[in-house]
This record gives sequence, structure tokens and C-alpha cells, in this order.
Amino acid sequence: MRLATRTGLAAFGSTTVSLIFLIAVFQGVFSNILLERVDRQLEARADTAPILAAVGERLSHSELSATVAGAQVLADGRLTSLGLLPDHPLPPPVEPGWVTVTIGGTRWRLHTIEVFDVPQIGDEALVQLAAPLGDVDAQARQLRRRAWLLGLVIATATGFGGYWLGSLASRPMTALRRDTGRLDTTHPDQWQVGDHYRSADVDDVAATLNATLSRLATATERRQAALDAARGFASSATHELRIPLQGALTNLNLAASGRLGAEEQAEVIALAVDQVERMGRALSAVRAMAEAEFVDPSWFEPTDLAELVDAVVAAEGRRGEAEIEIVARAEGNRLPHHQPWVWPDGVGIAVANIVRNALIHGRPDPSATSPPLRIRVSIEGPRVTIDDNGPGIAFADRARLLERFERGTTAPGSGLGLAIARQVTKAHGGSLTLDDSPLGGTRACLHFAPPDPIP
Amino acid sequence: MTAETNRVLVVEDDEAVRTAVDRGLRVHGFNVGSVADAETALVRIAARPPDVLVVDVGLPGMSGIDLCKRLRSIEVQVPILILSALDQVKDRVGGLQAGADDYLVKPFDLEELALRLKALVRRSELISVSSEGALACGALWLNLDRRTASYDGASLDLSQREFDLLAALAANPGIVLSRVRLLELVWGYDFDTDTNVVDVFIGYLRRKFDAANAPRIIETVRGVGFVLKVS
Repeated sequence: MRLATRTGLAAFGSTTVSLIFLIAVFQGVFSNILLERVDRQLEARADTAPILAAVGERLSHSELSATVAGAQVLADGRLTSLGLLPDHPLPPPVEPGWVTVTIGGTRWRLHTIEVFDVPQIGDEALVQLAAPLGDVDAQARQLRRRAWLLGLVIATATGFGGYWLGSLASRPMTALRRDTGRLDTTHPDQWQVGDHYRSADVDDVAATLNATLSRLATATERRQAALDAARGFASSATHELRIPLQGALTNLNLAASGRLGAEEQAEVIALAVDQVERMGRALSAVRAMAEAEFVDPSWFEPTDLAELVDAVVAAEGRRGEAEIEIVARAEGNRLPHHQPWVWPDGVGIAVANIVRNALIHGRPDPSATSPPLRIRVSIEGPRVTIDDNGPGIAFADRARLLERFERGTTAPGSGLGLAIARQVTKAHGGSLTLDDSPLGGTRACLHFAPPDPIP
Repeated sequence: MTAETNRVLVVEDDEAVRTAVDRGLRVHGFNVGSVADAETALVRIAARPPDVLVVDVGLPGMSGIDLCKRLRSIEVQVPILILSALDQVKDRVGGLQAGADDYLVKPFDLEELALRLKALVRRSELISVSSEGALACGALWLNLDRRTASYDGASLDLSQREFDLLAALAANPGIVLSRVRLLELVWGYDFDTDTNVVDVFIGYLRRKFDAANAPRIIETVRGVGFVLKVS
């Protein structure tokens, strides 16, 4: 129900209740006033009652009064009626006082008085003056009708007035409703209503609404970004899987063609197997990348980075030939065993990817004459720096190689290793940078924390 | 067809795929050369153009699409089949618009690739020796020697494959040609193949007619094929 309608109905309802009460009280008071007027006239005639009683049957109606219609006199056990009394007999006077009776549908007011020593009547008699209340009741009825009619008019007018005032009062709310209806669902960044509606209540509602909308917009934008990332990623991952799939398929086509010799047959099957394994690695990389893109804060925990890196590097080191050195240093005034708050699995994957890259690309020409590959891993606070003495990465290629599915022309990998490592550092608020190493090759610096604020 | 006339150059950056395709095409009777990037491919083509070119879209440096554009801009009319690891329409359409003749989406069947390449070579040899004068069809005018087309005096700027497709339709005015028949006539594909390359090129032709403010005289006959409307 509209606010204005509600206000109108409330005004109508409350006015009606008040009027019912007022009319009821007024009606009671007015009936009493009318009755008292009758009573005063009966009392006024009470003084003349003995005389009236004495004159007896000669008394005419006009002589009594307009109000007092007649009387009954009870003396010595004899009841005499005077004036205009109803056809149905009134109850005989019993004792002095006031009584109202209904005779033949009409109310009568009876006033009984005691008279003494009245000539022609005797020592003692009861005179009962009677006044019909028909006129009084008719007046009361008419007044009641008018009161109700007037009440109805007043209540209705109040109702409409309430509706009008309600409409005026609910204008700010209407404006807020209009503004809310105009919100463009496609632009969450514009999801805001006004902040001044010339009503403190509505301004409060608007402020609450704006706060909620702002939270919703942030959530929507985040979800949209995640969706876009997922969609782009699915498309890129599909692209990446097609290549080894092609390699495997072509080799299997060849093997099935029956045109190869036994040796070549075995070779193409081995190549097909290689490609299937590459697909497996690509799938693992895709999964790692997906995880790094949607990191859950609950995965973070205080971690002994040196210990974690040591285990990862040891495992990777077994895959290739290199002299690997691990150096752990205390950072600034922190204790040597200060444990940074990181995502351990992510850090493990990132470090492993960099070390693996160094092992793969570090010695493009593994001839006896080239110097042995050296890899140095330094851990300082939340920072892990990996140096090698390999051929290094050309400055122009550094930014590109950090992107998904980008790799050097000779690189056999999925093109995701560095991208995953960078995504993991980003999930920590940090960064991955590639640089020249003092060892002569590449320096990869993984920072697993937001950069320190500039003092 | 001798190995001398069946020379294919494969331009593919992924070593595993390149090696496998190289070996596979050799087994299918091609004289195969393969390179890892577009720059090297241009040097090889300048030295001695192959009969047909297989180009991967996603090459490092100069992309496969740029290579197609470059070759067509320097009037190298070698048939080009592009390989794409992206199956979204816009990716492969880019290659065909750049002047390629056909495309395959990875992973593809080696047999399919070999059949299509052989057909493309055969077809281009056929075109290079044929010289049939002119073909007129209403306001449409095709010069088969110079391989130029015009409609009502306005010239249509067509790629080689678009010209062949239009010529095939113009040679049979008012006759509905099925997609299979067009693949056979224009691409030389006399084998069963699953491709929508005809529809893509019909789309290009219509756009070129629009660009020349010519009426759309190529009509689709649903469920059958395409027809050149004669006024």
C-alpha cells in the first residue's frame, strides 16, 4: 500500500474513532440536558400541583403547560386522572420521586409529589405529574443523525487530507524510489542514489542504500573480473592444449599410416608420448595458474620461508645438473626466524618454476667446454632472489615473458611458469622482477609481500 | 605430380608440431621445408617460392596473418593454408581475409592436411595454365586472363580465392551449386571434408559487392548451396 494511502486511511480511521467517542459523549450530555428541561418544567408545576389537584377535572391541557400533559392524583385510595394522559393507564403513584416509563412506545417522565391538607382532596395525597418524552426523543434522534452525518464528512475529509499530506510527506521517498529505479544494471560503478532528499529519514535510507549498493557493486565488479579472467583463461588454456595435442595426433597418424619403418615407427610413438606428457604438464600448469588467480585468504599462514625454499630447491635440483647454493639472511631488525605470512603452496610453485627455468635455460649448450651451471637462491624476509650464470634474458623480452603463454622461441615449456610465479607474488601484494644477475645470467626477484611503504 | 612440383613450406614455431608435420607431409609425398618464424619463411620464399604454404597463425614476431598479408602485397600468389590453435571465428577469418586460401584448426588430421594441400597445389597449377578470356553475366564482368572483376563498371577488389569462387558461380548463372561442388570447383577438394570455408568466402564476396555498391547477386539456397542471380 502506498505511503500516502496509508496516511489517508490512518487519518480517516483515527478521526472516525475520535468522532464516535465524541458523538457518544455529546449525545449523552444532550439527552440529559433535554431531560432536565422536562424535569424543571415538571418541578415548576409541582408548586401548583395541589391547586391543580383541587380543581380536578376542570383542568385542561393548556392550563398544565406545553410539556406537562396531565397528572394523576391518589387520595384516600381513589385515583383521579387529569389532562391528556395515554390510553394505556400510567402506573399509579406510589411514592414521591422521579421515574421514566414507556407506555405504548412513548416514554413518559413522571414526577410524584406528596401534598398535605388540600381542600376537596384531603389531608394527604400523591400527585403524579406526567410529561411525554416523544418530542425530546425525536430531537435527540435528529441531533444524533446530524452528528453522525457531520462526523462522516469530517472523517472523510480528514482521510483525503491525510492522503494529500501523506503524498507531500512521501515525496522524498518517491524521489528515492525513482532514483533507485534508474540505476543502470550494466554499470555497477554508477550504482549510487542521491544523498539529499530533504528528509532526514529518507537521507538515512539513501545512505544505507548507497553503502549496500557500493558493496554490491564491488562484489559484482570482482565477480565480473573473475569471470573475464576465467573466460580468457579457458580460451588461452584451450589454445595451449591444442598444440601438444596436434603434435601427438600427427605422430599417431604417422604411426597408424603403415608407411614407416620399425625404427621410425618407434620414434614417432615416443614423440607422441612426449606430447601427451607435455599435455599433462600443461594441465598442471593451467590448474596452478587458476589457483594463483583466485587465491583464498585462508591458504595463507606464517611460514618458515627458508625451510620451504630449501625443500623446493632440493626437489627441483635433482632434475638437472647445477651447483645450487641457498643463502638465508635476516631482514632489517627482524629476527632471523621471523615467519612471513604467505601462501606456502603458491610460494613453492613460484620458486620451483623459477629454479626449473634456470635449469632448463641455464645451459643451452651443455657441452663440456661451457662452465657448470650455478644457481644461487637468497631468502631475505618475504623476498626470494634466484640468480644464475646462464645466458640471461634480453631486456626487451623480460616484460613479455612474464605474460601467460609467452615463451622464448626455443623454450619447450607451457609458457605459464613465469606467469604463475608472477601471479603468486601478486596474490601476496608483491611482484616478480627479472634483472641481470651478478652471476652473469638472470636474476629473478620474487617478493611475497606488498612493497615497504616509503618512510 | 612429382616431388619437384609438390613443394610445401611449413611455418610453425612449435618444434614438436613442426617436426611431426614435416615428417608426416614427407610420408605423404611432399617435398617439405620447415621454418620456425615468418622472417625466415620470407627469405626462403624469396629464394624459391614453394607450391603451397602451411602457416601457423600464432608465430612469434611477425604473425602468420601478417605473413599472408605481406606475401599477397608483394604479389606472391602461392596457395596458403593457415593453421590455428584458436577456433574462434575471428581468429581464422583474420587469416582468410589476409589472403589465405583455407584454414585448419588444431588438432587436425594429417591425412586431411595432406589432401587439402595436394588439392590446393593441383588447383593453382590448373589456374596458372588456364586462360579463357572473359566471362560476362548481366552487369558482372570477369576478365579471366587478368583475373579482374567489375560490376556495372565498378571494379571489385577480390583476392585470388574470391575471384575463383565468383568465376565458378558466374560460369553457372542461375544454377544452384552445392558447397561440396564449390569446394571441388574452387579448392579442388574432391574428398569428403568438414569445412565452412565456402560460407566464409561467400560472406567476403558479398561484402565486396556491398563495398562497390553492387546488388547482392549471390543468393543462398537454404539446404542446397549458392546461386548467382541473373537479372
